[in-house]
Amino acid sequence: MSSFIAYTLFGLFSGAAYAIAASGLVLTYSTTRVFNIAHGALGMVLSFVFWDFSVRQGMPTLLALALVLLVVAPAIGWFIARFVARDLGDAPASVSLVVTVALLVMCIGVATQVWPQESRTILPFFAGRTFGIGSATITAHQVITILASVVVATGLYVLLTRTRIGTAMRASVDNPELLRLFGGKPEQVAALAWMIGVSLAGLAGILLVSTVGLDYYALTLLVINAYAAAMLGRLTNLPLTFLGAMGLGLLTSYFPGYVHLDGFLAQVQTVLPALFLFAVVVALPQAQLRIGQVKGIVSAPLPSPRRTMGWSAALLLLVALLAGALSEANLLVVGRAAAFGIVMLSMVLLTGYGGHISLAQLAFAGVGALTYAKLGEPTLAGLAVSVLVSAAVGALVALPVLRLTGLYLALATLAFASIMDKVVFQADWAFGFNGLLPAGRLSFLGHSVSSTGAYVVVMTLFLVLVAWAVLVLRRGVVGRLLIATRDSAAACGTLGLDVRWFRVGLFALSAGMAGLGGALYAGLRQNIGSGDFIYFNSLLLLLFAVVAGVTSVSGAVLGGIGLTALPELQSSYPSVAGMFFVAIAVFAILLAKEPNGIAGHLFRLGRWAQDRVAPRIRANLPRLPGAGGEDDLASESEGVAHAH
Amino acid sequence: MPRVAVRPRAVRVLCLVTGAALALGLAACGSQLDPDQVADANGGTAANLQAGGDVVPGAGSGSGTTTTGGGTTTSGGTSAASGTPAAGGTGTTGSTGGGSSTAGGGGDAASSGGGHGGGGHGGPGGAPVSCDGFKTGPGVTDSEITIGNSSDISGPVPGLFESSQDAVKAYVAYFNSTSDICGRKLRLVTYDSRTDAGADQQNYAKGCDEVFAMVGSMSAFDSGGASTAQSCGLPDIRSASVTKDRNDCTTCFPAQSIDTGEFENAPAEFVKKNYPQDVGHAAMLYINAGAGAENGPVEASAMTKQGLHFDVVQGIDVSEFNYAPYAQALKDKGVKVVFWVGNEQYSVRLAQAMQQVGYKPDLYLRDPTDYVPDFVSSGGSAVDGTVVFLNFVPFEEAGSNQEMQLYLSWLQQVSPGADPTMFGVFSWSAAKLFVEKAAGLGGGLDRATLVDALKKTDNWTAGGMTAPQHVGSKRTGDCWRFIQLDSGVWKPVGSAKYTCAGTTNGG
Repeated sequence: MSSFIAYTLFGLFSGAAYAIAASGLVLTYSTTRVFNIAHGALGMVLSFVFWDFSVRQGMPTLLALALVLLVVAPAIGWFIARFVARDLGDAPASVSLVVTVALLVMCIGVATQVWPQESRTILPFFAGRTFGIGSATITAHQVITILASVVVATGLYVLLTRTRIGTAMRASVDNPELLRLFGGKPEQVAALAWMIGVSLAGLAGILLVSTVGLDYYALTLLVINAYAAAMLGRLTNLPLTFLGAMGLGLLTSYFPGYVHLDGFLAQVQTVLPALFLFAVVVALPQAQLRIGQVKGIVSAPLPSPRRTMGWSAALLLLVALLAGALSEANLLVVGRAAAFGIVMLSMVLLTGYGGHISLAQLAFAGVGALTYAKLGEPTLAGLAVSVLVSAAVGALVALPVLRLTGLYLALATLAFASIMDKVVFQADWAFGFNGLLPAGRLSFLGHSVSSTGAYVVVMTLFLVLVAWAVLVLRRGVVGRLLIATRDSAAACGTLGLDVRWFRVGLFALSAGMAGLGGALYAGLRQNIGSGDFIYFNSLLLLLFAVVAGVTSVSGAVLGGIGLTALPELQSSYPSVAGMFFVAIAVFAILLAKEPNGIAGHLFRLGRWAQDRVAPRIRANLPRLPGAGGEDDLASESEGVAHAH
Repeated sequence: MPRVAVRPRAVRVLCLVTGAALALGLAACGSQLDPDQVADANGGTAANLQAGGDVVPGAGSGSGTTTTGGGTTTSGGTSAASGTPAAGGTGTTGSTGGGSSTAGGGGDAASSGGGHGGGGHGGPGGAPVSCDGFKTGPGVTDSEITIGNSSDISGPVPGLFESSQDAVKAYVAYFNSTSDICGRKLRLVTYDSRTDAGADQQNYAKGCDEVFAMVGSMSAFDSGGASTAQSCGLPDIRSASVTKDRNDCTTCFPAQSIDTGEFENAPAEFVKKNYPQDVGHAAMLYINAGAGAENGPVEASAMTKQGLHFDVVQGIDVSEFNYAPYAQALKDKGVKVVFWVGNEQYSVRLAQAMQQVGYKPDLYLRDPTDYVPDFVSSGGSAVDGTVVFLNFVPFEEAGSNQEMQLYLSWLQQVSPGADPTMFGVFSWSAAKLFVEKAAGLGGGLDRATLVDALKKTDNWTAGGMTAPQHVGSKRTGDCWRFIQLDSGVWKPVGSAKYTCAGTTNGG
C-alpha cells in the first residue's frame, strides 16, 4: 500500500507537469484557435532565461522567477500575438501549424546561439527538503509543482468562465467582429491569451528544468506528451485537460511498479504518451465541419506541358552535368535533395492539393526504405513492392483518422510517426537500435546503376516522373476533386460526393510516393537506418515544404534542396548555426500566409519578367525572315474557381 | 533529434597542466619517430619489457601477461605488454574467460611502446625501416601526410564530440612541433558528422579522396560511413566504435576497442569480490535509445553469465523525466546493486530519484560516461559514493603518466579552456597509434599496409595512457580499474591497477 501511495504521488508530479504545459496550450487554443507547437520550446527558452538571471547573473531566485514569468514571458507573448500570430486563427490549419513550428525552430536557434552548449545546472526549489507521506517521500519541489498545477487549472478556469475578460477571450474565438461590435478588443484579448500562455510555458519549463536539465530539445519534446492531455479536453475543456494530464502521469508512474513487460511490449511502454495521444485524437467526437471558405486558396499556376517538359529536361541535364563534375560526397548531397524532393511531392499531393496535413511522411519514407532494404531485391520490382507496402501502410493510417482534419489529423499522424520511430523502426526485425540495413543500388534489366553519379541521375528521373504524375493528377478529375474537397468538404458532401474512400486512396498514394523517396534514398546510401527517419524531423519537413511552396512541384524541389542545405550550412558555419534556424523561422513566418511559398514569388517574378522584360528583348531582336507567331510561353493559370 | 546514449556534453575536468614551461618541457620529450628509432624499439620490445629496461620510455617492465582461464594474477605494477605479436614482439593477447588478474594501471605502466614511439611493431624481425620508396597518393605528398577527423560537432547536441577533434588537433600540433614521418608533417582535415549517419557517410566519401587516413573520429551514428571507408580501403583509427556496423568494417579500428556483444568481466568480478552478499540482487536500467538500448540488455546478460542475478532489466524512454517510480520499484524489489547505461545527465536523474525515495543501493556502478565534472556538480550528494569503472589513467593522476600530461597540455594549446574527455583520450590514443604505425612502415606506408599493421595491433595502451586495447581484433578490452566519488572527489578503489578478468559474450 505504501508503494502504491508512492507511485501515486510520483504520478501526480508527472501529471502536474503535463497539466501546466497542457493548460497553456489549451488557453492559447481556446482563445486564439492556434495550437502552439512551440509551447515546449518557449518553456525551454524561458528556463534558459531563468538560469541566466538566477545563476549567471546571481539574482535572487524569487526575483528571477518574477522577472521571467511576469515580464519576459508576457513580453514574448505580446510580441508573438502582435507580430507573429495575428489573424492566425482564421488561417488554414497548415498555416498556423507552420508558424508555430517556425516559432519552435526559432526558439531552438535563439537558445543555441545565445546560450551555447555548456554545463549548466539549476537546483530544484528548496533542494533537499522532503515530506514523508506514509513510507513515501516527496520533495518540496514536487509538492510545489503539484500545487502550481492545481492553482493554474483553477485560476484559468475561473478566468475563462467567471470573469469578463475570460468571456471576452472565449468570444474572440467564436466571432471577433461581433466582440468588436460589443466594444471588445479582440487584438488585446488575443495578446493577453498569448502573454498568459507563454508565462505558463515558462512556469512548466522552470518547474521541470531542475529535473530535465537545460537542454535544447528535452523540454521541447517533453511537452509533446502534454498534447495528449490537451486533446482529451478537446483543446478547450480545462477540467478534462487537467484530468487527462493527471491520468497520463499516473499511468506512466504505475507502469514501472506493477507492469513487467519484455521484448516488444517493453518498447510499447516507451510510447505510452504517443499511443495515448493517438487514441484520444481518434476517439474524439467528430470535429465541427467547416461549412466552407469565403474565398478559395489561391493555387500556384499549373505549368503547360511544354514548359514542364522544358524544366524537366533542364533539371535532368543539370544533374547529369553535376554527376560528371561533383565528388562522391557532394553527389550524396544532391541525391539526398532529390529524395527529399520526392517526399515533398507527396506532400504537394496530400497537403498542397488535398489540404490534409500529415506529419508522418518521413515515417512512410522509412517504411519504403525498410521494405526495400529487407527485400534485398534492388530492382524495379523491388522498388514497386516498397512503394506498395508504403501505400498500404498509408491506407491503414488513413482508416482510423478518416474523419479527422486539420490539427487533429496532424497530431494523429505525429503520434503515428513517433510510434513508428520508437517501436517499429528500432525493432530487431526492422533496422534495430542504431543499426543499419544494407541496400543495393537499383538495377534495370540486370544492369546495376553502380556509380553514384548515375544513380543520382536516376533519382532525379524518378523525381521528374513523380512530378509529372502529380501534375497529371492535378489537371484531371482527381485534381479538381482534390481542390474541391480541400476548399469545402461540406460542400462536396452536399453534392453527393463520398470522399472517404477517395481520401484513403489519397493517403495511400501520398505514402507510396514518400516510400519511393525513402527506397531510392536507401539505394543511394547503400545502407539505411532508423536514425534517418526520426519523427521530429517531420516538423522540419512540413516547415520547408510550406515555405518553399507546398502547392507546386517547383516548391517541392526547392524544399528538398533547402532541407538538405540547412544542416550543411550549419555545419559549415557552426558559430552561427543557430542563426540559420532563426532565419528559416523568420522566412516561414513571413511566408506562412502566402500559400504558394517561395515558389509563388518566383512564379510572379517569372511572369513579371515575361510581361515586362521579354517584350523589350524581343523588340530589340532582329526579325528573321519567315519567323513564326507569338511564342507560347504563357503558363496556364489555374484560376478557375479560386478567385483571389 | 537527439537519440544519443553516449555522453552529450564534454568532460569538464579542471586543467591539470597548463603552465607553458611544463608544456614546452613535455614537448621536448615528444615523438621523434624516424623509422630507425622505431625499429630500435621494435627490435627489443620483448627483451626490454622482460628486462624492465628503459629503451622505450614509459614502457612497463615485467611480464604481466594476462592469460585466459582461472586464477588471479597480480603483476608487479607494470605489465600489459605492447606490440604486435606478428612483428616479433611479445605482445599479449587479451584474456577471455574467467579469472582475473591485475595489470599495471596508470602510471607509466602498461605501455605499448611508451611515450616515444616504441610501438611494438615495425619491420619483420625488427629490421630497420627505410623511408625509401615512400609513395605519394591520396593524402600523401612529398611534404605532408593528410589525415582526417569526422566527429559530431553540430547537430542537436552542439559540440557533442568536439573533444575528439580537439584531441587530434592537439596531437597533430604536438607531433608537428617535434617530429615528422619520413620528412612529412601531418595535416589535419576536419569534418562534421552532425550526429547523422548520412553526414558520416558523406565525410568518409570525402575522406576517401582527400585524406590518407581518418584518425580519432567519434560519432554517435557512426554506421553511415563504415562501408564507404571499407570500400575505398580508407584506414579509420577511431576513438571508439558505437555501432556494430562500424565494428564490422574491415578498415576501421577503434583505439578503445569495444565489441557490442561482448562485455568485460571486471565489473561483475568487482561486485562478487567486494559485495558478495549482493550478487543475487542486481538491476540494470538503461536509456531506451541508441547505444544504451543495445548495450543495457547485453551487459545484463553477460553479467548474469558471470553469476549476478538481475531482478530488474528495464529501459527508460528519453522523454521520461520522472525517475522516482523506477527508483521506487528498485527499492520495493530489494535491489542491492544498480547498473545504469546512459549518459551522465540521466544517471544523475536516477541517482537523485533513488535519494528522493530514500533508497541507497549498496553499489551504484557506472561506466566511464559518469566520469565528468557535470556528474559531480549536478548530482551533489545524490551521486556521492558512485563507483565508476575506467579504462584510462584518471585525469587526477595525470602526473603519473607522461602521455596523459602531453594530451592535457597540448589540448590547452590548441583549444584553450577545452576540457579533456574520455573520447578525447582515445582520440589522442588513435592519433598516436597512427603515427607509430605509419612511422614503423616507413617507405612501405600505404593504406593497405597500414590496415594490415593495425590488424596485428593488440594490447595498445598509448604509452600507458589507457588500459590495453585489442585494436586489431576489436574485442572488448578486459582491463579496468575502479574509482569512487568520495565527497566530490574521485578516488581509486583499491590500488591504481587494472583488473583484467576477461570478457563474456552477452549478445
